[in-house]
Amino acid sequence: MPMIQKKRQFLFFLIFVFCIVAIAVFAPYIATHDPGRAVLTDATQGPGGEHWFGTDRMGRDLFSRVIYGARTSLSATLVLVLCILVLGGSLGIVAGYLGGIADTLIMRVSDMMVSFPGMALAIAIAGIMGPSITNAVIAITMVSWTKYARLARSLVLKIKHQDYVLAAVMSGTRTRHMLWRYMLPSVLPTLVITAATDMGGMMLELAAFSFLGLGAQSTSIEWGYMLNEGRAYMESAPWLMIFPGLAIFITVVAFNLLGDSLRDLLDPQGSNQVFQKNKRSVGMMKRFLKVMGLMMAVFLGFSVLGGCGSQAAQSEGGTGKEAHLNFGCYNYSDSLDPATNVNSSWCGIRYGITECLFKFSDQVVAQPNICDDYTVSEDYKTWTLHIRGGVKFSNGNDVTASAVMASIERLYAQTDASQGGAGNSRPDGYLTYASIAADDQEGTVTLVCDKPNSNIPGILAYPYFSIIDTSVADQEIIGTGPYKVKKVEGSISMDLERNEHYWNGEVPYESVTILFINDSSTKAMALQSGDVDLVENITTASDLEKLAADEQYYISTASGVRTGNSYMNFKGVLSNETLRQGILMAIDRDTMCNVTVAGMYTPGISVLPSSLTYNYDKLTDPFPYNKEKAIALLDEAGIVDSNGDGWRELEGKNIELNSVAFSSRNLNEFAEAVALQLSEIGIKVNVNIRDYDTALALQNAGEFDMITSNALTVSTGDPVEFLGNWYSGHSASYGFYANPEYDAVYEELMAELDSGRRTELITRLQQILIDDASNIVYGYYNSRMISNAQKVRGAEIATMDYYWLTTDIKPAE
Amino acid sequence: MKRQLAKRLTQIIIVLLGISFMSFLLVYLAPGDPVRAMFAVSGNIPSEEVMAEIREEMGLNRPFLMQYASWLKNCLQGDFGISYSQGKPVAQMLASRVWPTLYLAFLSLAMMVVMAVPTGVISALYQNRPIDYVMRSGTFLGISMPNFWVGLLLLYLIGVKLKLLPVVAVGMGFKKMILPAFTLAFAMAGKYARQVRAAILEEMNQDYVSGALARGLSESTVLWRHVIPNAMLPLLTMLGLSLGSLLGGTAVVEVIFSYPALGSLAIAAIIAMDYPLIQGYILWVALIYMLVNLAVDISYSFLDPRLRKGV
Repeated sequence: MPMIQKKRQFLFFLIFVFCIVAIAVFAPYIATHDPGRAVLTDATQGPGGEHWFGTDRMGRDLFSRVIYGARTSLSATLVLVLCILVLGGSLGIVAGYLGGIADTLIMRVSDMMVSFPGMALAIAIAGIMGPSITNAVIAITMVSWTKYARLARSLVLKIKHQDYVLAAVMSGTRTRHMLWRYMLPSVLPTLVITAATDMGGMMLELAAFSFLGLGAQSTSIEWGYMLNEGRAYMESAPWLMIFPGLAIFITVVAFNLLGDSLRDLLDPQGSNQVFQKNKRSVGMMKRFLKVMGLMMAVFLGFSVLGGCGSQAAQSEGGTGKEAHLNFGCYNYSDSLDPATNVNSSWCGIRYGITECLFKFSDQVVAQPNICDDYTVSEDYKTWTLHIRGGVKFSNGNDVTASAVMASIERLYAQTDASQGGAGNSRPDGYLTYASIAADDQEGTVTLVCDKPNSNIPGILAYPYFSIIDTSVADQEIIGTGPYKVKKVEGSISMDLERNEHYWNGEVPYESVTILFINDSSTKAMALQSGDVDLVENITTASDLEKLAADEQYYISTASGVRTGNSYMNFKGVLSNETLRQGILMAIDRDTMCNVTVAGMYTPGISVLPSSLTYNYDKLTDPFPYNKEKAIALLDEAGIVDSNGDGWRELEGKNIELNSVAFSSRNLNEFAEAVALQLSEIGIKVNVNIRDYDTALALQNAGEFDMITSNALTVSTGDPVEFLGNWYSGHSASYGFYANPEYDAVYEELMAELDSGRRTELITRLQQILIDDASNIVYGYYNSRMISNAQKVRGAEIATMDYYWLTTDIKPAE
Repeated sequence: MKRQLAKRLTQIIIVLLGISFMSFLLVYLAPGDPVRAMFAVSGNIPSEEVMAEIREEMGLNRPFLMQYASWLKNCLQGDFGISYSQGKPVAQMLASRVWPTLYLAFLSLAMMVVMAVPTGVISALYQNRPIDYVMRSGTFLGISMPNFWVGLLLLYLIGVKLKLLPVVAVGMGFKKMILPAFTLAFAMAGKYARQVRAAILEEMNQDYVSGALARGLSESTVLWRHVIPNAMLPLLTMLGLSLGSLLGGTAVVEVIFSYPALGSLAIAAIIAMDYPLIQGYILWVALIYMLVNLAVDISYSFLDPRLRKGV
């Protein structure tokens, strides 16, 4: 290519890049909407009309967000490349010029970094430092500087011994001056050119970090993160994934073209190819293609062999004599041992492997299961449980009274550190007993509690108290459920087979393969592609909507016993009651539950779900949604914006709420929607999406103004533990709520055994919490089971989400 | 040869030591309290006194270097600690993910070679002809498209819309691996095809090629016996390096296609702040990477007789 053409090409691409930069700089003039402004009712609209690229799930304009996204993505990439250039360049110059120990040290470290997969280390660094775009930049810098260091060093070594440099050194120029005035100028051009060609690649790496959730967070507008968010809506709102991806692609193309043309421009090598001058023979190409074809055939053969070598799950479901079910679910635990932790105990029951003495009905009443009858002493301390005759473990061993006792004793021993137990389960949080005894003649287990307890059936229905065969518990978990474990592939899949000894009716499937799929939209896609026939809980609203519209799929919904709410911190600015009331009135929980999370939750005002029998209908809401009234209330109370920054102040101090949430069961979406709605009435909220553990730690430390959470309200069939979160003796971990009236009623509840009186007390407690504007309740999470109706029938979800694979789930006719 | 191998092995040990130090330091400096993190995973954080006791028991109050030494000693005995989040030995958890990781990496490398080499060779042979421009545009797409975007688009079009291939790669069947492996191969193929093209063009400019042609050897002989083999040799080293970027870079694809290998384990470990697992991950990936590269270097010296003498 002639020089002039190369120059023209370079100029053209330079203008291309400048256009993109201009979009970022002039974003406010180009964008059609405020990229942060959410109209919740306008969520996920398709492209066209007022919104050129459509809207996202919060009802924000996607076109404006993509335009503004250029700012974050470009500036972060620029900072990243500059960091790498400065760090690598200066280390390289120092190493090259000084030599000796400095050189050895720097180059050894650099060698070490080169002989290590950089991306893996960067992921680990970014992960340990905590997700943020700054940390992603630091992490990538830490693993990418070596290239520039080597380059700079080699350039310095080249000029170090040239006459003019030696002359400068001999004339006594100081080292610092030498580095700045002699070394840097000769090294810089090459480094800058390399950096220019690296921009595209670096932008891709940063976007990948954001995509993985290790970079930009929800508070910033960034393309990679937008793709991450849009991924969940791939099916129903593909524009959320297409436009941000296209933006990254176009920008990277622009930078890569610029880099290439720059390299062409500076590349002194001409083009004098020997072959070029000769006419290629057709035979040569033919032979080449033949060999390539052969290679490809060999490759394919090899790959197929490789694929067959490793096991693949059969996908024949519901046909033939040997019924097989493929079930897709989230992997909560790799263990099935009830002593390991909460999740492992739940998994055993959920997969139909273990069972408890009692089982909750859909009305959340503990019903006899392995225990078929019981008596209780008058002081509610001694419970005599009769074990159902003829029940066997799946290995054929009898479930005797002593076997049941052994199972319970093992649970306590395995979770007691002083007895050397390593389990993390905490059964003593539910039950402490004075003694336990078994009578195999009578078939009874006698449990003596250390204080009166009216809820033993409910407690024993909690998954911790699954009955397992202790004689083999060290090797495998054998329960009494309809299925037993055949083969476990780490956290990849689990093969179950029919329990031939099952006591409670026929087991419909010969075998079940559980595929662990942690991503909600992937679960939905796996169901549609036929990879699985049954999945639990799809939490991406759009996927669920699509499946609901398709007759082929059956969705079973159980009105939830989990409450989604935000605790408010009474040791902060939210101790102001008027402010809390204003906040409650500014929040449109109906739209949040029905549109933002599209029916994942049923809206409600009380901390206890409306589906339970605690008089939800008798409760009154003094603070219904009314934005104008909320504004008026705050204005009247003098909580106004007096310094003109757009945000209200309380007692002269800016209100800036710290809202913590973690991304499970749509909680992050709630937190974001609350922040957006409160900004409408002039209250500033910073959303802080953390992982579960960090959120929990912040909650316990009281370092929050609002924390969004989702908890099972009646884990043992009784809400008393959950209501304790607002009892002043326990509330330290839940925002320090304190009300003497609440405490008095709660103390009475704890001692009360009569169920009618209990319900009365529980109703009063609920109303006190509502009247005190004690926390923001959004609604009640609806558990779901989704099945392919052509292959599976009877796939209903239980109210208590302990039960997934039951014998009611059968092959379709 | 033996001396060289010994030298390489010592190098590997030194680098591993350095990396072990770095990964230990990283976790040591990490914000947050490891004891608290350990308990937070199970949802029960004990009282401050109990945690202080456990801290003492675990030796977390000892000086940094002593902690490092005892940790390293355990690692050398194959004990990388117990995962906070799953309560299982870290070594066991990582080991179960090694084969899926390597399988995906090698499959995508193989796919990449099948795509990149013909493209590069044809592109070079037809330099500056229309077919060259078409192929170069293709490779340009490869290096400029975000691979997670490619993955999502493929998943959407081929898996969900056309229902041609499974959308979850759980279980590792070849059919399930096509999409993840292709996603990875696509981006790499762009880079490699460009390298192959450049390498062939450069090789064609060598004097020996003019010499061979002048002696009357046929072009196809020159191409097949000399140009292509010589041009491919440096690619072998690149393959080794690519494996490194794959070991870390597959995480994105693993997440998209729910493929359970080392990358998604690392992401899960990060989300759970499972420090022992993160440390183990860094060390294991380093070890795998270096062993594979050692194997590449050894095979390299068999392919290139000059190196066998030990330069």
